[in-house]
Amino acid sequence: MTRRRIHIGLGLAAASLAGVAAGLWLASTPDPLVAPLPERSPDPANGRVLYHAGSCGACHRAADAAHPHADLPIGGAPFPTPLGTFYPGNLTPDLETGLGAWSETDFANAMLRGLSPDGRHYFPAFPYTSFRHMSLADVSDLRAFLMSLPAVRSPARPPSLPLLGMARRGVGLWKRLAGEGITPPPEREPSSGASWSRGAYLTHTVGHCGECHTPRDGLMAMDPARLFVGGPHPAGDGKVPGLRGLIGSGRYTDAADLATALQYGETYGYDRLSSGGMGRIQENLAKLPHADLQAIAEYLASLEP
Amino acid sequence: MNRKRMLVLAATAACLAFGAGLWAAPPADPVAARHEAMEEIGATMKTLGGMARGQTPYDAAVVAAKASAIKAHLEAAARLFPPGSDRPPSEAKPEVWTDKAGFDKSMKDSATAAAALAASRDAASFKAALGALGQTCKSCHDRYRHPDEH
Repeated sequence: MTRRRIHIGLGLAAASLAGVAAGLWLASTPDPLVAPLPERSPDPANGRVLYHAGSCGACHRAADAAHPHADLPIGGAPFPTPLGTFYPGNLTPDLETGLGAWSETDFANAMLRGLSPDGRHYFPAFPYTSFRHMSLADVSDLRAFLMSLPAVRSPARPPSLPLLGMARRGVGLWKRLAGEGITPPPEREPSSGASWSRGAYLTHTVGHCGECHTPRDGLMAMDPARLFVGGPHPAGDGKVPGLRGLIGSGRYTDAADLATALQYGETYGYDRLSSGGMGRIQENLAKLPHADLQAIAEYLASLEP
Repeated sequence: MNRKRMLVLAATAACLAFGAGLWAAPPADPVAARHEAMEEIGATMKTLGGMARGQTPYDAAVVAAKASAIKAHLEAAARLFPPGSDRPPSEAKPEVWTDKAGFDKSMKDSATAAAALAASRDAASFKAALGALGQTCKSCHDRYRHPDEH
């Protein structure tokens, strides 16, 4: 009798554990976009602008700065995080080690859903958390630009993380719990112009500025309540400055001054923009059309402290 | 004539500043002193940046004076890193002392670039020399200064 009861108890426990496991498995299932994407002829020139606005090459750079193709996003340089070290991949169109064999849908799934072509979750060290609000047209233009680069063989290196496979599946749960909390760029207000909206899109979405300049909550997601207030450096050393009240604090005189700072950095005496964490970003921003820099500056200048 | 006089004045000022830097006793607070020197350099770079962007008219004499002042500050600052001066609010990386030869060379390269800027004689060479000086700021900061605010 007692023994039978124990058996029933054990059976129930096992069944509920299996239920929980199945629930977690289902909840962490990748949710890809399905082909085909709308037919259009992409614009690689726009893709180049987005490539620099997103500073793609800053993280997807070569491990060795002396590599003959160090000017291309061949990947491999370490990207340290509190969870472990990632090695961003090769974005050139090499068939085996780069994006050469990727379809447009594969690329859109990576950018907008954080999924690899074989349907696994990417860790959010790759900031699809911000890119997910990019327009499909921009995603396809960015891909067209990357496909126009010379193909360089540069094999990817897996991240050094404990329990890699389980952690990867766990990202699916994290996407459900935290990913949905990430706010899209603010809607255009009637009083604001097209330049302000463009600036908001470049800052929030393509430039993914919040990934470093917004503190993270308990789930390690950007905290929408503290957007762009700055905080501890994600890599654990020092602080990232806030992006609010940049004009009021006297750090910059006006939006035009801020645009100049983003374009020229330390060369024109704007300290902290060309070295440290911002150095590789500013290098990329300097290649944007001036109207886009002005748009970013106009948007940033509008952020209240 | 006027320009020549300005040049002479600038050169004199630079020599005086340089001399003062050379003979100054080691300051009681090297961290604050080098911070101040760097702030001065930043402010001067901003003025020259405005000229490079055409906000103020190009003026070779002003460039020579400002660039010489930067050079003097750099040479003074190079002596403001005595061993052990790495306490907060210092932002110097340990590499300043562990790779002293590299650091000294980096500061010297910057001073050389400032001298080249002072010697530029037309708007185009001024802009190029300012860019080159800015690159030396960046590369030294990348290697020898903590990456982000502390």
